[in-house]
Amino acid sequence: MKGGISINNLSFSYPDGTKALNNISFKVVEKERVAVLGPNGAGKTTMVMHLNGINDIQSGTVSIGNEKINTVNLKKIRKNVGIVFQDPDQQLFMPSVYEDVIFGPKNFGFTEEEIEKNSKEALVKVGMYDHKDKSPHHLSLGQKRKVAIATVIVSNPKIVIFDEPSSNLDPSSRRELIDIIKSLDSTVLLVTHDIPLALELCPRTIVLKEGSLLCDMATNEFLKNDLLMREARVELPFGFELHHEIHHIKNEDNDLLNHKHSD
Amino acid sequence: MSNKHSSPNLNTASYLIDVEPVEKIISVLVLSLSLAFNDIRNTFTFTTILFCIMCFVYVSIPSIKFLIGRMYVIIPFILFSLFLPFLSKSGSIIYEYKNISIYQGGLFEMSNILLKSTAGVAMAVALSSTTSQFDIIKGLERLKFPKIFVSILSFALRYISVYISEFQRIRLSMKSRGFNNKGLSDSRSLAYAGSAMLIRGFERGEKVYSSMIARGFDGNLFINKKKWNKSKLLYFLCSVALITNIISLSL
Amino acid sequence: MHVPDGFINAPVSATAGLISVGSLWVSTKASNKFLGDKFIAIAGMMSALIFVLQMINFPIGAGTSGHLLGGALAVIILGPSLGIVCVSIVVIIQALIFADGGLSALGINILNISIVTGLIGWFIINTWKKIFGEKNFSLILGSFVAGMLSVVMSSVAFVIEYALGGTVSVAIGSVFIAMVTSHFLIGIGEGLITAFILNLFLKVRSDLVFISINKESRHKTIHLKRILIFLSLSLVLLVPFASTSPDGLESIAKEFSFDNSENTAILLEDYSMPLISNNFISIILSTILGVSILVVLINLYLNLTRKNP
Repeated sequence: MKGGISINNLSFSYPDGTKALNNISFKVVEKERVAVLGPNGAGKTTMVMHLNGINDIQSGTVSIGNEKINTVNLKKIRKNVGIVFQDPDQQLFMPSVYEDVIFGPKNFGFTEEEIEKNSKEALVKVGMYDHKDKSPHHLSLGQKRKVAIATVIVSNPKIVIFDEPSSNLDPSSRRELIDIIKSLDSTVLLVTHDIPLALELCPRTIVLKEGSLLCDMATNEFLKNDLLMREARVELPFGFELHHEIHHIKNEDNDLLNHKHSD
Repeated sequence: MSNKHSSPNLNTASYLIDVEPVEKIISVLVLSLSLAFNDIRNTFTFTTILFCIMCFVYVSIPSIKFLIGRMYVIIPFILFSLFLPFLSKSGSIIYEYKNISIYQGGLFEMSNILLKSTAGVAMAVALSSTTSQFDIIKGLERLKFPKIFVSILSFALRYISVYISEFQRIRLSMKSRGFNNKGLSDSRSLAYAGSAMLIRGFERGEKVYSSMIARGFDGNLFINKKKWNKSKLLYFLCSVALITNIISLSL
Repeated sequence: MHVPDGFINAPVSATAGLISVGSLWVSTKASNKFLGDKFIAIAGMMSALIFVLQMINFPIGAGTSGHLLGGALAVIILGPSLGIVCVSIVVIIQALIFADGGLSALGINILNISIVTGLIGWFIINTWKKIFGEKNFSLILGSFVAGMLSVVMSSVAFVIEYALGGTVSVAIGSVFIAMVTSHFLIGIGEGLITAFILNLFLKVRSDLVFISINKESRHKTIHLKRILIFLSLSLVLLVPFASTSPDGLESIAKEFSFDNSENTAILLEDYSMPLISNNFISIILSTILGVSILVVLINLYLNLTRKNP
């Protein structure tokens, strides 16, 4: 399964009738990195929960790598679309870090050797291998976030979605998070309020507002457009101005490098 | 609210830590049940089993002080049992002083209750000193308890600490707004805090479920394999207890 | 209250264990059917919450504080099956991991703390609903009564267990009075806290409260549960007498050749129960038991013959 996403005319209403998503359509190419911005309640999380079949598709279609999501291929979809939720306590429900990490691979039918190898790699990648026998409750928020990421990347999904990954993180944990995301080889969807994070990691930005797609353009362009930013209820952090265009280039090892180019 | 539940102490000095949880659970059950359902008047059986229990407890706990500290749960029953020689009018009267008489039957009952309840608590404390909470659950799983039950127990344990922390935070914010925890109206506020937690609990339960299915959960759960030691001592103690039980039953 | 080891003899403890296992099995099956795949996540979460709720000190005034048992609250909010499962899980965790309550008395503790309180609470709130309507105010009042009576009946259950298999020969009359009066006060506290908690629930998320959303739905599995439990309860009356090996007190009597005609075990003849020296108390107890059985039977009959809308 390839790592492209295709959403067509997706609409969704809650049981009490409120419309959460209004005819959303966009496409994401394999290995692309897209930031999803928008005010609280705009429908970002609701939309994201369609991508792995947790929310039933009421109208419209969602395709992951050319396969439409239906009731039959859910497990395959979920193996390939990993979501790192905002609240790590929701994601880490097993007694130990290690058991949380192998939960996914066990369900997806990996062999014992694969499970051992992948879990070790995932934990080493996020820097939490030494904590593998600890109970999640004893970890700090930054550590929990890292373990949550490990539980998702251990299954080698083609698409990884992050829901507010940097909220409440101290600056050094945030930097570690950025390094981890940069090292990923998959398609990345980054739902966030953290503008500098979106700018550093994602060349493209989608903005949702009140359930509809407000705009879909290069991050650089969006952040230069004051009108659009105001409509999206987004502003640059105080004291920051976008002087340079950030170019998102990948080197041979597929690591994301950010080169600054002055106009 | 005390912190006694948030981190039960594991006694790292005990060699029983590396022993298979199943053996420890079975030992605790065999010894507790044997003692609880025997009478001190079957002296040989009772003292043998008591001795087995003391061996087990000795090997498990760090110190007697530790054990006594955990005995608070049965203090009301200990106090009650101290009145038994006077209240329990069975057997002949041993001693009489003015209007108060001490009954022989009552004395035996007091010893029974005292020894059985304290031994029971000691066994449970010994188990929790040598086996982490989750390992106890894993032991139950290997004993072929229904998987659903074991998973619910495991989840409940995982989230108890989360909710204790959450409630402590709520109480802290209540205290900083002048809450005194004295009158009945304060009970009302605490009850509201409790219901707020319950409501969030529902929502969190749903979210955890979403996380589970996002990682492929479809109703099947897996047993985790870990290498454990066996303990000859536990086998010995259990066999002794069982044999003495059988002997006393057949007599 | 969690009963420690040594208070109740083997036959009664074993019977209580059987009843608990049976009820848990039925409740788990019913909840599983009702919740599907979500059962584990929700049950785990709510059990953890009830555990933590039980730890809270609720001040009553004059420096004393009470605690919540939660049996009635659990069935009001979660429904009978899930409520019983969750509180039982809490009791198991307390006994096995926190040394609270004897392991030999686990069956008794589950029976008293989760099953009796749950069933009584469920029965009362439903009857109250039928008589006084389903408005929020009526439900809250009903939950107070349910909470209070659940605790009182829990202590009565203990007294019955004591009467049938207590290892101590304190007069049953004294035990009854001591237990029930002290639990009456505890019951008032429980009722109040239950009512307070339900109050907020109904205001904020009444869609989560089982009794307010499930108006007339009756699962057949719950009927089955009641039948099973009723049958097991009758076993309680039969097993101690069917047991041929003398229980503790009889052996004491034999050993000391003590002619204790008041305290020897006799069958339920002339409305007197074993180990009871005071006939008046025994009559009351038998009446309570008889009436309870009748009430359960009538309720069962009504439910089985009710037409589902």
